[in-house]
Amino acid sequence: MTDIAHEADHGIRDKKGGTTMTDPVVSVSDLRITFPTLEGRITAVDGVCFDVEPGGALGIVGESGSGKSVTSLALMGLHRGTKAEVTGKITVAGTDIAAASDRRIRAMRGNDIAMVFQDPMSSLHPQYTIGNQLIEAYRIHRPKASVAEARKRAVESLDRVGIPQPARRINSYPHEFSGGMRQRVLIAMGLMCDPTVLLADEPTTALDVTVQAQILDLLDDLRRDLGMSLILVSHDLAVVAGSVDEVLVMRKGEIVERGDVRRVLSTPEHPYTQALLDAVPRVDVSRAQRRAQVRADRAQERHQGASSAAAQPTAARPVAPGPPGSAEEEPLLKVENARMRFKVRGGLFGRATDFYAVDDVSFDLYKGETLGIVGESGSGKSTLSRMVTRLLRPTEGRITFEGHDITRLPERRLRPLRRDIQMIFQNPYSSLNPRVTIGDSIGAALRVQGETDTKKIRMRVQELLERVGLESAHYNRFPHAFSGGQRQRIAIARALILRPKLVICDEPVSALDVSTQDQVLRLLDELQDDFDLTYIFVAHDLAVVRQVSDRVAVMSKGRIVEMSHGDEVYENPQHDYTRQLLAAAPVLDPEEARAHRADRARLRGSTDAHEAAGSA
Amino acid sequence: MITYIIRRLFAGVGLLLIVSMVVFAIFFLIPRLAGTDADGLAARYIGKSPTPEAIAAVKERLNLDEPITVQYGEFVKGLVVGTEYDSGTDVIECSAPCFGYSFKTGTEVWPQLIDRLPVTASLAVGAAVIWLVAGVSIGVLSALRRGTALDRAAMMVALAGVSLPIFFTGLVSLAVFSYYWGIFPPGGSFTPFTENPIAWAHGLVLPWVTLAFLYAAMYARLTRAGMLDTMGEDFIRTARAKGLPERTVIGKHALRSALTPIITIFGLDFGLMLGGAVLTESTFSLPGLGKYAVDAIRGNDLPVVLGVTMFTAVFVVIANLIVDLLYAWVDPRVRVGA
Amino acid sequence: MSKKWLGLAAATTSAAMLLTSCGGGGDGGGGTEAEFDAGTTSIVNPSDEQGGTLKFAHSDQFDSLDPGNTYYAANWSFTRFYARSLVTYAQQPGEEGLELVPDLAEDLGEVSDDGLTWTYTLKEGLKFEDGTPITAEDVKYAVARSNFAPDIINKGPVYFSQLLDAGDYEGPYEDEDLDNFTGIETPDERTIEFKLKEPFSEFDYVAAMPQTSPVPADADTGDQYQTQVVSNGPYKFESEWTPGKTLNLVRNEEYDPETDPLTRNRPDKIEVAFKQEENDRDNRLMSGDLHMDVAGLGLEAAARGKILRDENLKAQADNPQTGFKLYFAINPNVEPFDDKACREAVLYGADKTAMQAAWGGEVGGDIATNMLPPSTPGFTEIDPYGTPEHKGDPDKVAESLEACGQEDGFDTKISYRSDRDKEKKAAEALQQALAEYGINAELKGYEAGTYTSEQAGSPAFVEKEELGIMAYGWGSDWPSGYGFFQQIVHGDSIKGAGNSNLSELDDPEINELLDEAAVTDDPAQREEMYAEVDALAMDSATLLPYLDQKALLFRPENVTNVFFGESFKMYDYSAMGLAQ
Repeated sequence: MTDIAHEADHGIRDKKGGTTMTDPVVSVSDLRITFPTLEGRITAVDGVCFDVEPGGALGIVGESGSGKSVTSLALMGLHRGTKAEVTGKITVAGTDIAAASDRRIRAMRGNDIAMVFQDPMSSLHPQYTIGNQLIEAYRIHRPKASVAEARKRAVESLDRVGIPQPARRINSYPHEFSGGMRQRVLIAMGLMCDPTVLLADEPTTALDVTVQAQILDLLDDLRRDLGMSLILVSHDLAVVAGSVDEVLVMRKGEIVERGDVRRVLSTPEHPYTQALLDAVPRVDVSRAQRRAQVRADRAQERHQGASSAAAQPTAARPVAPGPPGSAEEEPLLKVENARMRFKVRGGLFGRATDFYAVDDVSFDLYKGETLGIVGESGSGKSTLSRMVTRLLRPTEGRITFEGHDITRLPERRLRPLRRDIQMIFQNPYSSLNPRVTIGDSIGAALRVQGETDTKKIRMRVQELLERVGLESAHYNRFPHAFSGGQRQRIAIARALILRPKLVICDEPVSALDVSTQDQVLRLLDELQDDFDLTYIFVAHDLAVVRQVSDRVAVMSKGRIVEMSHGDEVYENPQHDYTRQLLAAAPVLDPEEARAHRADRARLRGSTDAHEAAGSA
Repeated sequence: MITYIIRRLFAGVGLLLIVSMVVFAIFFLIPRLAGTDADGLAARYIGKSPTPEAIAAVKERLNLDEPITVQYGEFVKGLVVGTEYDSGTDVIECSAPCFGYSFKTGTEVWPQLIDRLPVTASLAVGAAVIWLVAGVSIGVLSALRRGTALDRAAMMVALAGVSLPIFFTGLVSLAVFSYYWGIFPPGGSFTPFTENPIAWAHGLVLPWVTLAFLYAAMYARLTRAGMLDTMGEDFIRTARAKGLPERTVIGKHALRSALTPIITIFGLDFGLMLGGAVLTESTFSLPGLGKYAVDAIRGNDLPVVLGVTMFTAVFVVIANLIVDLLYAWVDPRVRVGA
Repeated sequence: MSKKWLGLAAATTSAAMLLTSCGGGGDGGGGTEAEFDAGTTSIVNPSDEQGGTLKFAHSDQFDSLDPGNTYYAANWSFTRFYARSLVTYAQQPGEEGLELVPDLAEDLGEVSDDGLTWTYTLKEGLKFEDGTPITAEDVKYAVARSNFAPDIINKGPVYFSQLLDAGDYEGPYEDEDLDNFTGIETPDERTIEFKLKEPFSEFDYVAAMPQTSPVPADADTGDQYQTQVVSNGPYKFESEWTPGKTLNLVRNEEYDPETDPLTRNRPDKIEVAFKQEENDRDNRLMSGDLHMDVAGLGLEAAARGKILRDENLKAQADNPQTGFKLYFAINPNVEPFDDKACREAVLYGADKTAMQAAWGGEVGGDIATNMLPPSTPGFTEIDPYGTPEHKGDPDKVAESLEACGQEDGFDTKISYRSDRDKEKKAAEALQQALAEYGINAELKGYEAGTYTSEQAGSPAFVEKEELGIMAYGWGSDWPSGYGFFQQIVHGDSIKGAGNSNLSELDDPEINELLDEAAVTDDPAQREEMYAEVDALAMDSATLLPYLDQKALLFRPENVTNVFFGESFKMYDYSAMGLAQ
């Protein structure tokens, strides 16, 4: 590991072959960054070295805590004035970061190296127009430029990144743009002064798949057109795969692997990299393959006797099930023409207009199945899941559960049925009450349903805690003492304590790291077998949905545009939108990634202005 | 936008009516709950040893015997249309809005309110300027130098400002600066601005500083907290990443965001203060609205209390409206129907 | 409310006061060597100098500037600057200050043989501030408006309405024809005849009230008159006055000092600022920014402490008796006080030294043992319920309790004015003293504004709430036994609201004595009767007098002719001037 980190030759092989002898535009040598914390000084980055050639693209990949963001901030000299201690040599566009004066650093920022951050909503000042912020970015480095000049340049920049009607929209505020557009604005801002290096830290994490693809395409374009170097930092290997030449894998502050992206992703040398790759949900791996893999792993664990979660016998299930439940069997859940209408205030003079979050959705769900619902933000998938659990009352349509029509049932009669339908939410941090111990959180459901014997409650809760991979001793701990993955397990336990029949998982793993994500998905899988559960799995990540679902429904703008058995949807998409989604999904194979990119460009070219205005 | 303002103003009028009803009810019910009847009420407004005839006469003149609805109706009529007042020799025309005549002194309420408003307004405006400037600057400095001696000292002084009662700081400052050193005029000196701006300011320095001390302390803490919050925001990081000098980062980016909630609070504080900074006015013997209100309450002088309450309510309503508009202007995310 | 927390501030302000302990008054311009309490018995700083602006401050405000519509001593004293009455009090310290001298009238009243007509003759050449001559009709009008239009003018005393034989005259605002007011006849321009229902020997005192100050009918504006009173005295309103604003008086050119028994025109200008914060006011007095406190109640606690400690400042202070009697009334309609012995138990059990301490010790007042104030002519000291050192007599208490059948004591209530700190402390002192004997008193505080009108002053309320003992204080409307006793012990004075006869005494003997005194010409005889009333009132055991209140007054060095006037029980403002 360390040998690789301190390799003498830091030259990167250029894609076109042959080494270039120009100076690297970014050069990092023996970088160490420590922070003081309550527990003492922790080392976030330990002995990192790398170079970036002019025009080159470097990807830095790692999970949370790997030190990748800290490293990228160091490149901008943004640790100055904080308590962080930075040692080592960093040279960016000829400036030695450590030795440079404050003035020199400021002159460099935005000018030689520009940074695009993760969350575009909070990264832009909400109270100034984007024009104001763009112009500011320009004039600070070109003080002699007039406002009109800067404005012209800003409009050009916006145009370059694909903002429609830039001359008009330059006067808009950040909140008036959608997520993807905001990210483009941030990129435009970064480009104002023609930087040599563009540093993008998780630029697409908060964005929808199609938008993500667009942004990555844009970055690629810009790189080629402007001859700019790109450093792309991400936790998602697939995101990095199609956009960089070289990749660094970081773990706990160290570089564990580096090299050409194709090589690293196809034949990783370090076990960590391998593990990371294995954990990434692959959109091209079928469900059946996945299940088989999981079962094999499980058997191995049990064999080794190291499992703490195998208390109960697992029910054997056929490896490649056809659609579970035959046509004669009654569906567990039947949704017919469900619609959810919201009234939107029409401003001062306008009347309220109707907005249908869910528009005429119908499907059946059989016992033991997993239905995956995939869609981007605004597709209505979350609203639909809430309608099924009756957290919302459908405006029109019918929802039947186990033969009972629950569409308009009053709360009192609904209560007993709530045992049978449970939900697991997305955000493990906010879905648990921080003031209540996890034992109480989980046990609350039992109490609500009428159970009074505290001993019994406690016993059942502790049983379940162990089942989901925690310890019964955790009963009295508070949520903040657990990691994200653990919290999600708690949420799962909470959902399962009542032995429901139907569990709706609303983006249960999107907020988790890749490896944790994998573990939780495996757990859900096991539990489905053991507890005989039926799942509705809602997510925006195509690969994840493919892995877990028997059937997949694709939603867009409140409607189901396509639904069929899992693999069908992925291998033989019928609807344009599905095709678009699939084309946008990041893939791990760099070659394939480029192919997809070309596809997208073609699709885009045919519907250029239309798309840009409508989506993202 | 105009519709919005008009709607708000209408709601404001509705609110004023409700306020007046509540005040009326309080003044009507409380003595009755304590066991006083109309006679007892009448006796309050007369001299020391009233005759039964006097009590009966006053009772009738002030309508104290009427049911509350009638009394309230008279009041509203006066507001809307005006009323007539029999002073004995003349019948005085009191044009709308007529808040009636003081039960205690027989003086018309409305002119008194208008008369006292400049005093309270002078006090409020001057103090507001001082506390905003002082409070915000100290808050910003404290936030930027968090944990240093300056920060700690500033917050301690702020704590003192909030803890020390106004009558204490006021009397002490008068004793020291007015009577001992003779720099400032003594209590009870108010010169209207139109008469002599220099004397006006000179006489108000001590009340301004006394009042501002209290508020500056609160605003310093608020600003400090707001700044600390804001400095941790992502867009500050972006601003730095653009290469902006620190003073621009703070002065343009951080301050704008941190001050937004302070505007709301300031508007409300100021609106309320126009209803009378009672303690300060009492301590410095300034003839403002606050003092007027307090005296009226103690004397159970219903027309005056109604007058001051509604006057204050108007200021609060307008202040609220301005604050909302200002907020929308300052923070574009809040704009209606944008 | 304001007094309470300002009282709290007193302690802290004392600290501030120490900072300014050098702040003394301005340099004393010439003048006699003054010493503590000199003003009570002599004129301090006598001087004939004229000029300057005399600045007054009032911690509250006058009830009205209309001479016909006011009932407070400070106000009566102050109105003498612009509203002269038929007769007035002499401008002398001490006993001589109780004498009446003719002011607008040529002489004191002439009474007819049957005692039913009192005649006064106006001096010649008297004018209002606008030059119009003052006539008898103007005096008649003044009395008519102040006493016979209770719906409009009702804040002043009501003696005229009670004494005059006016039938059912409806007052000048209802009845335009002044001739219908038969209570007063004006046979010519300068003669005024008061027609009484019954003889009243002390009528001159009534004539001394500002209600006899003439008011021109065409200048009268009813209850708005106080905004612009037409002056007949040495000063007039500078301009229209709004209540609450500073009052400015300037010289009245039409005033003829020759017609005046008093010298009251020394300053060129007079200013009164109202609603001034009390502690600040005291500071200003001491620093020289203010000349006089017009309310006449004395210094606040903070200033009091400071002045008593500093020899120089103390020399500028006076500590006279205010003529105000502080006492507790015991209501015989509330059990167990229907039994006289139980009342006596309270009288014997009281610890008057503790109550004196509550009022500030010796500076606050002298312990009282009977009802009549010492300054009243004919005062005789008696102590029918005396106890050793005024601290209570356990034996007598035990005796009384046994006599009324409550050997182990009983429960009762003591009411007081909650915003009067000292009164509260006195009530507490009484409560504590009585507790020793098993008499458990619950303290009930009420707001001063409503105490006299609705709570203690309402017999129905008193009985309903069982207020057995009520804290009170009383000063006479004029310096005689009648002026003092009439309202508080005469059976006829009991009222449904605004009652001052808290003991609800209706003793035929007392009533008769007072009625007779009213018609007795000889002052000496009257004084004897008052002494008897005093004794009888004490004997009823319904009154527990404990303190003759004293005030601590401050006179800045640059104010001339300062002395304590026994008439109004405060410094005589009319005499004051400024050292130039």
